[in-house]
Amino acid sequence: MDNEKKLFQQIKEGNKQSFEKLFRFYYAPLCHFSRKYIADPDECEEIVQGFFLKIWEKRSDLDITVSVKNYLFSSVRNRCLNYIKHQKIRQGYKTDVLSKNNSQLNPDNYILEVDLHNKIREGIDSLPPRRREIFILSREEGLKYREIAEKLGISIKTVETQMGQALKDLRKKLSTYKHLLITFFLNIPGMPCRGNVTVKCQKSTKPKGKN
Amino acid sequence: MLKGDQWNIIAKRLSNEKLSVEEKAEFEKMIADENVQRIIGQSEKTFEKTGLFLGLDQYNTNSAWEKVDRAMSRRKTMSFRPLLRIAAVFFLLVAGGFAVWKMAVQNKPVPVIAAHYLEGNTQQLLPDGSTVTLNHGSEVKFPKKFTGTTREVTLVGEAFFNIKPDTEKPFIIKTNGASVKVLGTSFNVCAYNESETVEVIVKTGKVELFNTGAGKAEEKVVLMPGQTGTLNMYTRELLRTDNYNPNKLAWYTREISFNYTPLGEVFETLQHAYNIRVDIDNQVDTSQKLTASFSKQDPEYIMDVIALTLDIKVDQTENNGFFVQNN
Repeated sequence: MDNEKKLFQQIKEGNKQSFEKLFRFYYAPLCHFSRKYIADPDECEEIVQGFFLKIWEKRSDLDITVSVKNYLFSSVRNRCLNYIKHQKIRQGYKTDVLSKNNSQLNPDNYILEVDLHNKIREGIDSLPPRRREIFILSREEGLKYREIAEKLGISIKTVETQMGQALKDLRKKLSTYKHLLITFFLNIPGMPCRGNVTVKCQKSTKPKGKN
Repeated sequence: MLKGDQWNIIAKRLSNEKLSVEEKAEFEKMIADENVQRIIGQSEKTFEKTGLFLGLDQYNTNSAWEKVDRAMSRRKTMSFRPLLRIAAVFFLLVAGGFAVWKMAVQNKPVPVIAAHYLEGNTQQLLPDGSTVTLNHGSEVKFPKKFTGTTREVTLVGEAFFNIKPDTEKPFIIKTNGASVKVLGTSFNVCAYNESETVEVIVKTGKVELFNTGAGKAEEKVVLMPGQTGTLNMYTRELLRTDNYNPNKLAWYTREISFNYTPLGEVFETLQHAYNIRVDIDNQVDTSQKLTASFSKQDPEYIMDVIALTLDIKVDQTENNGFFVQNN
């Protein structure tokens, strides 16, 4: 978002529209980010909403020295870690999430450019229904090809073909888009699991009850 | 340019599916071509961005905003709500003389100035030259000018009053279910809305604590120095005991002493005194005893001393909190 410092200044002065703008821009990214720490999406939403309420209540005392984006993401991370600590106290089990996930913070992995957002929605909507279903099961739910095949009662080969076609369709749709043209990451061999792929790995530990 | 099978291989690769030996060979052949490299790079980005899109799309920002918006307007009227869990102390420090005075049960609305303080130890001057120091999450309401035969204020939370003597105009502090009456004195009132008891601790002088709950307007206890008066908000029972715990005044005095005090109680005292949150790992033995005294120290220092003394680990958390665990 442009001019975040200015926006934050307006929030400090009690401007609710600015606050809403900040909320709308960052809500989903922060929820999605907190899933890295907490499996339950409802808990994530609670945490992020509570955090925004706190910002509004304490707005006049807030002083941000880093970028607004980094402030938001690191605060939400701290809240998630606190939440985990309390869970630990309540349930009395040890978890290594705290040490494991405290490493680096990369907010940009969770923020999608607005125009790209619309483009992707168009792209996904234009896929044939079956292909779209398979693609979503793979990319959102993080299911393996085998799991998708079992779930839909189709062959793994079909899943492979549909995923290949979905990739072809979507890349074509997005290839004119500057973000895809300017940068590309090719880490061959052994393309590591990173970015959203990391999130996907996390999710697969707790499949959601969709469909 | 690429064949259908080749797209399948790229999609498989990007989905972290295991490639067969033939597919692996094909993939390695493909990436020798610079153009294909570029396409694979774009494909990876496509997968990454669509995955992110699907991840973000699960959250309904509109309904979340409505929820937050409602909570924002609710909290405006109850801005000190989150801080109200502390036990109430009606601490009265009376310096001036005191005349027995019959409570007038009157609730006529007066124009008020509301002084709200969310953070601790802020001093406020009252219209008659008296002063009031508010503890965290507390609020006192008083008129622009004290007219009539009394000086009346209302209090939620905890405050230390220093009242200018005026025998003609008794000073009355009304709280939820209790009243405190003095003619000229300094005292500390704490009456958080949601707490079970109202406690009055008297250091010097003489103070009256009234039970003003429904139907019991006349009931009172007279408290002398060193005594504690307690009003239970549920049973409406008024009690007087002959001692008091100085640590309960620590929020104001910043003087704390522990004498063979169980660790659990130590943390409770610190939470109240400094408006901090202390979370304790359930492995920590909270019955171990601590003997120490602190004068005008900040909570970080005190926690450090406790950590060293008892060989436990204390970490600072967000918002002035602490997390305690075994080493």
